[in-house]
Amino acid sequence: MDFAIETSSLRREFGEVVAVDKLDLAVETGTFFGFLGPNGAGKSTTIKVLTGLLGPSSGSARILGHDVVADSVAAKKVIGVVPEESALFERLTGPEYLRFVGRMYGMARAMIDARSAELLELMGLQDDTRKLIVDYSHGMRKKLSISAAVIHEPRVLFLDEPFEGIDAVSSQLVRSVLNQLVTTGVTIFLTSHILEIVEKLCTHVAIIHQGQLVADGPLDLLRAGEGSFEAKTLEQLFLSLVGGDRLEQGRLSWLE
Amino acid sequence: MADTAVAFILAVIATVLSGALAFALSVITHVGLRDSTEDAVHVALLVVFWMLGFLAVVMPVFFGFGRPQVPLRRLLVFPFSHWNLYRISLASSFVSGVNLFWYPVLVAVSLVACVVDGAPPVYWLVAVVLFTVCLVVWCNTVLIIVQWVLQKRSARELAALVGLILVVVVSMLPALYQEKAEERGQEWFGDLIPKPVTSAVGRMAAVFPPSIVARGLESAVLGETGAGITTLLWLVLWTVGGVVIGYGIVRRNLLEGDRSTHAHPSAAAPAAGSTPGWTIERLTILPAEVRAVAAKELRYLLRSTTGKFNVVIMPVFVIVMALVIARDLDRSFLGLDRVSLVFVGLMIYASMFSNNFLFNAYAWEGAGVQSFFLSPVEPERIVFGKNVGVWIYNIILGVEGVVCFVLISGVPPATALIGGCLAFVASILSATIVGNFLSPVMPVPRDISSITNSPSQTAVLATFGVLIGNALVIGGSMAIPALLGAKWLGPLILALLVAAEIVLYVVMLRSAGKILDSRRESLIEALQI
Repeated sequence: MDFAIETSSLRREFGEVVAVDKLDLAVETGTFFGFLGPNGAGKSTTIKVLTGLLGPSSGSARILGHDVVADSVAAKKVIGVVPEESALFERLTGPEYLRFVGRMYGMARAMIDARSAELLELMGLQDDTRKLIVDYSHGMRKKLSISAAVIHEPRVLFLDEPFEGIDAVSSQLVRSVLNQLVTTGVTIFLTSHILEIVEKLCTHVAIIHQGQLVADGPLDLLRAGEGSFEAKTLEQLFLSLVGGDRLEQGRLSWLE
Repeated sequence: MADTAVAFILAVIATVLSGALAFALSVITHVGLRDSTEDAVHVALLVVFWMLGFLAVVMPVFFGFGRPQVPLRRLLVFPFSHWNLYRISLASSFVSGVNLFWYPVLVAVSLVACVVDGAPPVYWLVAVVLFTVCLVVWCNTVLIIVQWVLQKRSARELAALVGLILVVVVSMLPALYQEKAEERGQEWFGDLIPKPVTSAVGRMAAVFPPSIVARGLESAVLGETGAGITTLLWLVLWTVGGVVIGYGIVRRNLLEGDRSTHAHPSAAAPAAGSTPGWTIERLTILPAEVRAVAAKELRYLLRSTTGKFNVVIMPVFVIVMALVIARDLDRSFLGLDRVSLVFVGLMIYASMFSNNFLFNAYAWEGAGVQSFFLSPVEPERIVFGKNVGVWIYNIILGVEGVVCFVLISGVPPATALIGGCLAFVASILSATIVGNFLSPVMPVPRDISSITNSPSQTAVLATFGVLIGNALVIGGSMAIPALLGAKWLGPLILALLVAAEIVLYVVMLRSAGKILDSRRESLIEALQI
């Protein structure tokens, strides 16, 4: 079986805090993989380690067989990333940034220009081609990040909260594009707090809580109670695994 | 603790300055009122109240960069009406630092006028209270207007650039004035402005609050209280006008939101294909990723306030170097004739224009720096690309400097021309080599719209060594051969120095890349502000 993403005992510490602990993941090539967890669970840290923004404290990670530390350039060549927070050069225009990204991946100029035009049109940014990114709204930045992540045809796509701040139409368009990518064999690693979207898109899901994996497998099997629990929806599954006692505390004393 | 100490020192300085100003204006008031002639009283009161008016209305714009005491837009989340928001901003102006600075001055002047010189106290009190309220209202209104005008990012950047150029030009005026005064006599400046213009300015100034209060008090001091009261009523009108304009802008424009997010596309960047960055992308001798980074770097430099400032100020700098400094030099110095010396000095100094871009190379990247680390590119290629961008920017500055110099002073001797250009290159290369190590180790985030992008204090100290070394080695390479009568030897030594620096640069580039990669996490963290 081919794995697009593999981690082995992956651990990342920030001083005394262990953000990710003994993470063993194996994501099959061509799957739409949902990586879920509550705030501060270690999702973004995992993505940052897998994409080379952070180094692991211990353990290893491989993207399509390339070690993310020892063979980082080869690993980065096959990935596209939409970070949670904007990682754009704000004093470039949208087309300038896409051209920068394309050139960094060694794409030909004509191909960059053609794909940029198509992506900007798809994302509804075609009227803002002379505007600097610093003047973009949050949603526009997100759409540009998504465009930059896919322009070079990555084989593995990391999406950290890609639907945050973008409108319903754009969200639908992005979902269509992501589904199209998966049909061409691209592996998508998605984190999102919008469980309905994850449930619609993803075939496989892993849930991380306090840095450790608490569930991992095909979504249908997890919902059907393959593990020690049974849930009708992803939300029920998620809440049963990471909600804990907090759900019972959801009341305000002065409203009683 | 450090902030408290700085605040204390600033408070002490402000108190001393306020005391000194109070003393100076009190003396002027006393001398004017003691004289009792119409002219003396008129001039003294005009000086005092225009000075106070300037402090109250203009200084907050400079010291606060046009920002009001209270950022009104942030208060929109609270259930305040627009009128109440305006009143909050007005109240904050009454206790703003600059106004607290001049209140004691007005009190001191009033005490001198009423107690020492016998001015009518009740009338004086009414006049200064009306004047104070009027000034504070207009101080607040001017800040609101500035904030409204500068809502758009491009307007803020343009204002910063124009302000910076004005400061530099104004700071050069005394030297230029002296230069002209020596040629044409002290009266030349007065003759420069036509008489109708000066009288028109005088008539316009008479309708402003400082002139009104001065005229009103002058009438009272000279015994014409009725006329004075009528005059002071104009202050009430000014105050009401200030409130109406300030509140109108708050209500209709200021609270609309940041217009920069709705900027018309044509007001933004030029088309992607028309910038020098695009030209770099055509330098196919370089790898594509290096060209991409260099193009990005050059675009950033030419879109930054300091980057634009350097390009604009270079001709002014050459004029000052060529005209003013050259006049003060003897015919020759250190074996170099005057033109050669000024040209070599100009090129060495011009090379330092971009030092901060090299010593704090990641200052403007912000979160965008992650784009470098997400790319499948060896770190040394990123370093090289950034260097190429700055070098091309330096070539723009260098060519601009040479052309301006040639237009003003003629073509310098061949040895100076070649030597100056080589000195320019040698200086930039040494700064590049040091900067490649300092920048990722000590990154200091800076606002690209700001007028400063200086590196950390530690880095500044480290770079002093480079500058002193450059001055000794490069200056010595030109001066010593010239003293020995072998002027051609200078450029030859500099050519060897440049060659050695290129070798050193290439050897060190991989290490610089490793440093960048090892500092990746701290760099991202430091720049994400």
